[in-house]
Amino acid sequence: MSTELTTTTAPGDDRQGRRRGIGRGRSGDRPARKAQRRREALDTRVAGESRGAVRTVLAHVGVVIAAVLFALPLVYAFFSALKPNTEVFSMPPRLLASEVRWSNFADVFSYGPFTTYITNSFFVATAGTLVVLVVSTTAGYAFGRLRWPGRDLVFVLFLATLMVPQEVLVVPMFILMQWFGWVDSYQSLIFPFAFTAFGTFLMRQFFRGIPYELDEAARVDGAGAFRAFAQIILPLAKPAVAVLAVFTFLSFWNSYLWPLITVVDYDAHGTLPIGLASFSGQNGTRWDLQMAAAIISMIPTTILVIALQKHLVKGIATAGLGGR
Amino acid sequence: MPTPAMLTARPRRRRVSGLKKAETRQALGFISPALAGLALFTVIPVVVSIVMSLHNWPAFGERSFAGFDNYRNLFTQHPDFWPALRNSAVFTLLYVPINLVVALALALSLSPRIRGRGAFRVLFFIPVVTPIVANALVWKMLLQPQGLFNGVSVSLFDIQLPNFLAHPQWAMIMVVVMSVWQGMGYNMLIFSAALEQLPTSVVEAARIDGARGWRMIRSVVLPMLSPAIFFATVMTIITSLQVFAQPQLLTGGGPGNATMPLVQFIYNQGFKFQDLGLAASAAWVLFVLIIMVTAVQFKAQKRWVHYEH
Amino acid sequence: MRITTTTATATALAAVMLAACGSDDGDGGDDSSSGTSSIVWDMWAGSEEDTAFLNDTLEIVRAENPDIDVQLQTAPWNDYFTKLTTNLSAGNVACVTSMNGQRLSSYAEAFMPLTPEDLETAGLSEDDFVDGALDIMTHDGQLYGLPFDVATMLVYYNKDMFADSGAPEPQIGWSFEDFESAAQSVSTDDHKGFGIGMAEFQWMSLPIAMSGKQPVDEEGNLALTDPDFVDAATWYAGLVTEQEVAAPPPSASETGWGETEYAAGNVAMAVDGTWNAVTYLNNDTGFAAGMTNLPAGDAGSTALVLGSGYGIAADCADKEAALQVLGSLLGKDAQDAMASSGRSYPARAESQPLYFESLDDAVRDEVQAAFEAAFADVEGQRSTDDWDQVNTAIQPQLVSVYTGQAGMGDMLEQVQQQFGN
Repeated sequence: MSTELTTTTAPGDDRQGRRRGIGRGRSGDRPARKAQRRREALDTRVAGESRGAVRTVLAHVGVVIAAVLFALPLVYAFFSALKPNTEVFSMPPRLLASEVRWSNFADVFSYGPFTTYITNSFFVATAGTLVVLVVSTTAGYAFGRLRWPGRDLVFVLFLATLMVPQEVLVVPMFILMQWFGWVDSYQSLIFPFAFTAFGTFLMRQFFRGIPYELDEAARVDGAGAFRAFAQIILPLAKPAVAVLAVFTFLSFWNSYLWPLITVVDYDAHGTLPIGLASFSGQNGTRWDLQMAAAIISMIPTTILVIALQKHLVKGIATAGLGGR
Repeated sequence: MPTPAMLTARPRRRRVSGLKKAETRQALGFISPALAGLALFTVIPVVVSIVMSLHNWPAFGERSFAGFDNYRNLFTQHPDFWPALRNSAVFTLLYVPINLVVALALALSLSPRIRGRGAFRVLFFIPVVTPIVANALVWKMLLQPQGLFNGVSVSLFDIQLPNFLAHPQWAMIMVVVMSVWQGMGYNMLIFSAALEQLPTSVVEAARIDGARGWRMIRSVVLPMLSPAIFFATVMTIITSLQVFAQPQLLTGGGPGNATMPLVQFIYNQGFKFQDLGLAASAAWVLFVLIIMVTAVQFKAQKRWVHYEH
Repeated sequence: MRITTTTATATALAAVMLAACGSDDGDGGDDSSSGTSSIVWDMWAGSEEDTAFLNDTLEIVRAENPDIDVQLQTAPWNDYFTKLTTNLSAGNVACVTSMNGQRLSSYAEAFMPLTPEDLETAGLSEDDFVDGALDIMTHDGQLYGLPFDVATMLVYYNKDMFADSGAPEPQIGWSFEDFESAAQSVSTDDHKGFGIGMAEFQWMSLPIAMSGKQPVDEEGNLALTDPDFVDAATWYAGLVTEQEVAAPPPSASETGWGETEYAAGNVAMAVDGTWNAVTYLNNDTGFAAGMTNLPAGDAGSTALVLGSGYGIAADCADKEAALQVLGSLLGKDAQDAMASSGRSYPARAESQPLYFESLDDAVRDEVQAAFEAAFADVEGQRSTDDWDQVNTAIQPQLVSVYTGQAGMGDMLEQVQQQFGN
């Protein structure tokens, strides 16, 4: 496994990438391959040119149908958040209930300490993302750009930890938190799952695609590895860092099982996902408020995705995740 | 974190091996935060959980060493373990291909000629960021006999749909459908990125040569996307073997144990029945399974993944 | 940097050794080093309203025990037991921990058995509680805590639907024939007559009432295959599959199917606990809710007493202080407050009338009559050590039974085989 992994994930040494710049264009246009493609393509030359317009229309229709199917549950969720609790499950289902209750969105905040949940989620997700960024970029640099004995072996071990299911670790992790005296603290929400290998993996992939001369010169000059990392490599890595930041933020924001276990005092350290569960009680569930709360909790992440949509796609492309 | 001064203050005698040593030292400096964190927050809990799996370890009360009894119990006695393993396998076999095909199809259709493709991408990605509690609730409302799907079907076509979530096979299919809806956006984004990255020269050359439509996709685009498809496949299989929240909230693992995957089994044993030893041992079976499947994928990739360099 | 790795390895080894010993018993989350002792009280609560009520109770307890630092800690009902399990496994249980009587058997070991002297320390006496209430927190003949509320199952019905259909409303002391004919005559094309149950006593109560048999025999053995109980349970499933007066739940995750349907005004009757009486009376859907006791079977009316209570954690460092807090939580003031808030029907006998006084004049007499009839001859609920697991195994199977894919008898037989020995 280890050798395969290295070949798939270590294209950085081949210097072709240099010509086109970072991380892109290494897909090669060697003459032999090109000729082969041409031969293959020859067979289908009969295809007419005039179908282009029809295709464009068809493509739009297809995408719109898919979009409607995809949006349907979301739309339904939104309208459910506007219903009185007892009509959420009314038969047959209706989009609009007997009344439109915008007040559900306000009631969410008076039902429980929802503002605290939001603030905590923000704080924990932001702090956790920062930790992940620092840890992943430095480790990714060591794996991707420095040569040291045992590097590939350690990296495979790193990757193996990606495969450990979180449910396995929850109880031992909780015992660990007790040894640290971290139960019911912000530390316990931020650190335990901030060291997963995904970020390191992603940053390593990206760093390998950067031409070696760029920082090698700096390091030999005596600028030092850290300065080479901070001043040359890191600025080039912005798109990949942005991708990692978004994915990390999302996973912290939606994390459920671990906060459920480690948070004792909901009023102080509760986060949004476990706050959502508090709408279910012994006397039934406030579905209306739960839906409204879910919609509210989607707002920040959706804005994040909309704002960074273009950069996300570019970032993934340049991070070497998409290509290889 | 070592300071730059620390790292550069090394004398530059015996250049080559000295540099190598310096580089090793620098690497250790860079990697130590990750290594320390991983040791503390992954290695220790992992080791503890191995120890737990070898013990009769109730949540409270006497713990005793049990050797491999938990594992033996799982494979030979427990009535829910094999079904859970089977369900995880079925889910993975259904979910991964559907997820990849839908994600790829959408990424391909969102070509530059589509207007507002950015908006569509966001739309297809939003379920990824939606709280699973809300997703499950909405899907239940859509799928139940008095729900939207059956309602529409009866009023338009006069066809009564099955009671999806209470039927052993349909329940699994619907868990898969909902999971695809929810998780596909991530892969779509990766494929979109890979598509943007295709060198225009190759695509243009193929176009000039007359490659169009399906032919173009099959013989030009897909081979060039194969590294991205490989990455997405590996990650998607790992996550689908770890599926938990979707069946837990949508079907409760039922009817019977028809949709209970391995992780839900683990959760039930540990947190509902307080048998942490058995839960840990089942978790290790899952871990070994994931490692094996991933290793096989890496072995098999040579046959179909084209790295162009 | 190498030091880091070595330290990590050493820590890991230490962790293994510590874990292998398995004797890291916690101190119950309190330290009594600082003069005044500190006691944590763990309770389930969801809404701000729940928490506000508990805080009022906390004030009562603090006022009665000025020398003890009492802290309240809460988790939503659905997550309470998951968190409790984690806390137990880590030896971090609150000294005063709330427990639901039906779940006690799984958690009994975590609690300190209470002796008559302990009750005295707490300032309580067995006579303070209504008859049978102590059974709630009793397991294997041993008292593990004291109840704060008592409950039993009732049949709730939608008066509007009965009025529409012209069928007579259920009456106290009704029989199963009355129940069947009510369910049939109130069923229409628009709605079913009965909401079928999924949770343990929401579904088991009618079979138990009909057969007069609990699914656990008097020796404490699982008795799911008792012929009388099987017959009654089969009849119950037949309400969906044969008489078609109830609709099957759409998913095994609908653990509150029948009750939710009733509350939403989609069915005319459902079985649920007395703890929800006030919720149903004030239902948002706007129908007039009625309630009566379970129908009587051939063996008479058989109902179980259910409820919740507080226990002292087995490893609580300051038992004395914990008992005093327990005494205040179940004292007259706290129980009166609970009763007059209408939140729960208190276990303390003298506080019970206040519960009815909190109700609206229009329904008070009816509710009181239903409660009195339902509690008239209740018996303690018997359970096995793995009762929780039995129910967890049954629940997803019930869906298959209700949809006709499996027989009730076969299902009970299978579960009996799995857990019976």
